[in-house]
Amino acid sequence: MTISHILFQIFIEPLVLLFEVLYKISLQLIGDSALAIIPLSLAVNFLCLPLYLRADEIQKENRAIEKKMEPWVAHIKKHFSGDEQFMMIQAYYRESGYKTTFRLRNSISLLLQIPFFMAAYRVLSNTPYLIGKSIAFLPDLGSPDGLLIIGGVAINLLPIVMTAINLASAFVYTNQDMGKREKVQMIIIAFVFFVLLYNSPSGLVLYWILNQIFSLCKNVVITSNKKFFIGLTKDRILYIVSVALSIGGIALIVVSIAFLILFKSVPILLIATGILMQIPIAAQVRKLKGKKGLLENKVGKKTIFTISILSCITLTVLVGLLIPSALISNSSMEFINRWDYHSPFMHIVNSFLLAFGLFIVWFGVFYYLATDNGKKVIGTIAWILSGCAIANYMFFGTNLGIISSYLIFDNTPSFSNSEGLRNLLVLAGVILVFLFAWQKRKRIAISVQTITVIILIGMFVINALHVAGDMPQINKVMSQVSEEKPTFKLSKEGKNVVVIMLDRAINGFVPYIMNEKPEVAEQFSGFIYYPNTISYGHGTNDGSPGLYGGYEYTPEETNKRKNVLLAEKQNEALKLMPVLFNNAGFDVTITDPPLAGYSDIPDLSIYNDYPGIKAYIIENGLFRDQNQTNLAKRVLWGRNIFAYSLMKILPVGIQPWFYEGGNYQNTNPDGSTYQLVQIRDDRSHARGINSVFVDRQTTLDALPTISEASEEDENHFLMFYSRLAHSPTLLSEPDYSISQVIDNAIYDDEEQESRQFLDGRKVLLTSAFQMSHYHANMAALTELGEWFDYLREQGLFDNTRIIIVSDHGFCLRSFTDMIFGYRTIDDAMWYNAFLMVKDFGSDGDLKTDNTFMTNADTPTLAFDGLIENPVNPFTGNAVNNDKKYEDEHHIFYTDHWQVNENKGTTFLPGDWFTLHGDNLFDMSAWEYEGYY
Amino acid sequence: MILYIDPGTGSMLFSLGIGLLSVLWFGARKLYMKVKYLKPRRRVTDSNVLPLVIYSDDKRYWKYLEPICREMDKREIGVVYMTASDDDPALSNTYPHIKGEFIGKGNRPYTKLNFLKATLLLTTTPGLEVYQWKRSKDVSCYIHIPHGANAMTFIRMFGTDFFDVLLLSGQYQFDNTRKLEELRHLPEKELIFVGVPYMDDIIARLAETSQPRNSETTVLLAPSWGNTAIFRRFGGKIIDLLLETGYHIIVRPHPQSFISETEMIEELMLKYPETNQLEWNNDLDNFDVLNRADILISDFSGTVFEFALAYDKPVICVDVHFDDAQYDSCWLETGNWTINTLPRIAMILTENNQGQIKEMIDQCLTDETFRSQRHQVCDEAWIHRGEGAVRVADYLERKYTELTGQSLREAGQTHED
Repeated sequence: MTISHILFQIFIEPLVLLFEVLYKISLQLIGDSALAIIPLSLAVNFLCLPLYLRADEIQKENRAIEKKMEPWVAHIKKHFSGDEQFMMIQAYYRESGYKTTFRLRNSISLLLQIPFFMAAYRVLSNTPYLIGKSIAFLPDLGSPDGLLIIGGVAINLLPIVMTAINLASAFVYTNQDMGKREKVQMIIIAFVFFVLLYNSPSGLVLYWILNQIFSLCKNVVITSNKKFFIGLTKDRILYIVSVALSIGGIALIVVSIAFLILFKSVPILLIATGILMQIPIAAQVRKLKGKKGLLENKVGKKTIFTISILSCITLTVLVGLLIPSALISNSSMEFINRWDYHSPFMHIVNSFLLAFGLFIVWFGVFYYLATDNGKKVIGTIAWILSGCAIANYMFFGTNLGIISSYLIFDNTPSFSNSEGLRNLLVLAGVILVFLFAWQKRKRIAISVQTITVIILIGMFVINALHVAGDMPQINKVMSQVSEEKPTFKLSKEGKNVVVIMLDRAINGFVPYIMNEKPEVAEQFSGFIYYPNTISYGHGTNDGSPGLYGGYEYTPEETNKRKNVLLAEKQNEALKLMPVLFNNAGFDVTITDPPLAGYSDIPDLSIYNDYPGIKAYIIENGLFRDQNQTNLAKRVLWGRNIFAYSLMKILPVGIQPWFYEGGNYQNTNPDGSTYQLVQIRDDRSHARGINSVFVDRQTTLDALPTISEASEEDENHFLMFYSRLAHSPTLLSEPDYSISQVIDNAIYDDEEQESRQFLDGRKVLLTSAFQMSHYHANMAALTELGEWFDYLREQGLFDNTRIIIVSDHGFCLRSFTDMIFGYRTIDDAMWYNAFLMVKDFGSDGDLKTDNTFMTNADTPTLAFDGLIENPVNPFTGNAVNNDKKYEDEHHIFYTDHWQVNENKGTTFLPGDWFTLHGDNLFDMSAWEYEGYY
Repeated sequence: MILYIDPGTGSMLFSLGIGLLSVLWFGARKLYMKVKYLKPRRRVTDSNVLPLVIYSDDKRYWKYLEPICREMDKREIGVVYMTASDDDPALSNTYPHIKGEFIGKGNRPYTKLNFLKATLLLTTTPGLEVYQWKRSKDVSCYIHIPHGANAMTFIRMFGTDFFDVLLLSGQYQFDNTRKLEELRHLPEKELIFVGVPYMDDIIARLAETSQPRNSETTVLLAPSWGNTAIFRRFGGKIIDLLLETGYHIIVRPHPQSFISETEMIEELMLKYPETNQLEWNNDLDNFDVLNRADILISDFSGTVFEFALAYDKPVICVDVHFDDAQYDSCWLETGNWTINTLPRIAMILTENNQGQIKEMIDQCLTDETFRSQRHQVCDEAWIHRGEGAVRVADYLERKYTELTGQSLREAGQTHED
């Protein structure tokens, strides 16, 4: 982290975020990405207007003091010399209430322009919204205009216009009592901007021109006290503009209400804009009445400052430290990039810098420049904001479900109208209480705010300790990161056993996929498909141990061994097949053993005691160029963790809008979510590339290149893990290819679609959630099919036993006949494990076998005929599938699927089901046992 | 790559924390208030804080400050006398309660003074907060006392602005100070009339000393130094003119002349060696020589007012064009009090009237108008005659009690222990 990065995060990035949000709002209001620049410019300028007005005022005050001091300064300069002259002037400045630093205050207007310019440059110079966009005579707002062509040389006209306006503005100033030095300064600045912006995209220049026009109007209005416009005074014009804005705002609200009645949806942005447009008239009315406002009682400056700064600290700690740390501490491992390592704390630091910049620096700038009354208003806003932010974060939207480390929720956050209303009522209550405290109980307010800061910091420290606790594991895992690519050796002469674990692969999709893609079914010839297969758990932590270790490792059996840690039992399960095959003389290769060492990134050291076992991590993008994703991750984490935190403190009604399908109002293509995450609008439309999907697909795709046929008579065991099916992604149909923009509307049109029906049973693929899982499964099976073809070509297929199995299914609700209750977890799809097996020499069409199976059969299936009477080397018990034949099967569901949380000796309490008999498709056979 | 967020537990933790901490917070505050009011409040009486410091930037100010020290000693009040001269008589003073302390030369005193811990600091040195000397945050009260009855008019610009208290001897000082405060938008300082302790000393010494019986008129030529002073303007000619009067002449150059104008003084001393009529004087203590003189010829040295007001004898002043551009007085419409007042107590010697110097001397010695004007000026510039040191000491005691609630005598003694 460099100094310039820190400064950028503090001073510029909060403004970038502001620009992005304002631009997006403008875009939504206007609907045209080019015209949206106009409201953006207006909004930014109106927002900064108090700043600039105050800066001008200060400059004026300064000039007045300087002018007043001039005679005596000249006197001192004339009659004193050397150090004494300097000291005398200093003493005189001091007595006159003037500081040398005041000279800087003359440049506040200019200084303020720099960060705003940088932010505008960042947002508008490279945004995809303007590239290729034309408006009026400007052909492409994404590049310089080149409008004037003289002698075959294209000259950019807009920067010239901009400079002309700048100079005109300087001329308006010259009518005032401005010093010559300042005039020259303004002219120089006009030329500096000309040089800076000459080759900039015309969209950015257009924005800057609008700013200059605004500034010019502002100067004209401010400098004139006369009736300068059709006989109207400045105040009169302000009044008329306020009334016009108010009427416009009321119209917007009326339209919104009509919208609400007609379409039953709340156009929050329109309503909010309509309400904001009432502010100027409110200010006018207050001015006319000449009454003291609610906030204008006599309050000590120091008290106001204390409450303001405490409130800003509260917001900084909450948004910059607590929320990011709560997010990251859930799974620190997910927030590291193995190809571009930075400590997860770096993300917290980044968020903190942004929060510091927004709440302390920029709030501070507004506060510093405000008049005493302005300070009160800003202080009140900060004080109330802090209360609302805490209420929103702590008590609302607390159950938004699963979120990825790229800050994408599995289910887009949505809130019922009643929750939105409840939230608004609570906020109204908070505002009233806080206003009361501000008016009457300032000392208590200070105490409460101090306590709040302490508590928030305390909570942050707890989270930080949590992350720190994960660091040894992260360091250990990072030390194992290797770019070494494995070789999957398979023998043409001996026996090969391959166990492929497809995490979350959906059993029920198989017939539909094979039906849609007969060529894939062809590739799977020789396989037996077992639809009636269960998993004893619902996730990887409770479903995979059984898969790898057999019936001794089902959740029920796992819980019986109360003296051994879950992590140890997971490791045992992951080692069972490799060790037994290794002992039987097999060459053993393992990739990505899930939750090895109870770490999200597998800890391969669990195999250190077995030199014959080769273990690798390959599913992390090893087969892919990472440069672009590295940059994208860095930028995205640098911004979106903070943006996520910001979203969490908003009223729930606007959280989904701010979330923007996971884009969080971003406009920067470098750190675009779309480079890392696919954002799905519906089952047929999506934008962006799911980077994790690409990582995983390229790994499966590389299988033929890393497989090696051996002529020797030796046996091989390969335990391979893939989460491709666990990476729901929409692909471009009908060939299911990766694409930045997905539009499958034509293919997905239900009437034209036959793929959803098979033998009279329908698979529901109506939601993006369902469809993206279907696509991911399609991709996984297609990739495996390709590999099987390769094995066939190499003459390896016949003497290879292949078991494809999943640790669990998922609650996709794609089959209405598999739902046995009203809750999400009452979906048999979730416990329906994937299982396809091809034995040695098996051939012929893909067969379906409805025999009752479980994924805990995997070891038995793998050992069959190769290892007689296998015994678990860790418990000494026989490895078999006797339990499959029992009448009852106890299946477990837990919310606590994270191994850094659920890491005792037994699983934390969860929901237990019993499947009676041996048919998971019989919904009456499912019985809920309770939560324990 | 999935994780699960549950801020619900966070909100519980938050609510619990708020509850617990609120109880602790308000409990602790209540306790703090109780403890705070249980014991009587103690103010700046830290044992490291000196009750009273007198600071002098040069040894020659001992004579101005000694009367105050003597009075404090008499009252058995301990004083730390900090000086920037390593040969300051204060360092070898015999007063048991006055502890001299050399605090270094050049800029070194400021390093000490800027971080000084004291309740009261009394000094004749102006320029606090203007030059390198800054207020220490651990000194409660800075008190300035001018060298003499007219010294305030020669303080360089802003010199007394950052003091808390000025100890004055005349109404004109009060008026000028208030006017400057108004012009410079400064808070009002505490202005206390105390008199001029060291001139009280002169009066006392005069009372104890028998008046010399001069057989002949004795003229003391005591010029100041620098470009505008007598010797630079008139050279040896002034001595020639004086010798021509036939009166006994004592020439007493300014001590600084022996340092800054050595060559010129040596030349003059060679040209005008001592005779029965002419003597050169450089006594450390000027009491005797002033006492012996019947009339003083000088320029703007402080001695003019000392001689006129304390010794009550006539003065002839050389007309020097005085530029007060560097002084506080240039801010005042009323101008410089000294310059304005001088013609009332002295005759002015110029290039034009230098030939009549004898007549001027004679007129000064005999014309009663000068005497009565001297007395008028004395009333304006020097009130509380004979009470200076006592009034200063009284004020210091009062101020100390006001600031700390304690007695300076006790504090001073304790500190000495």
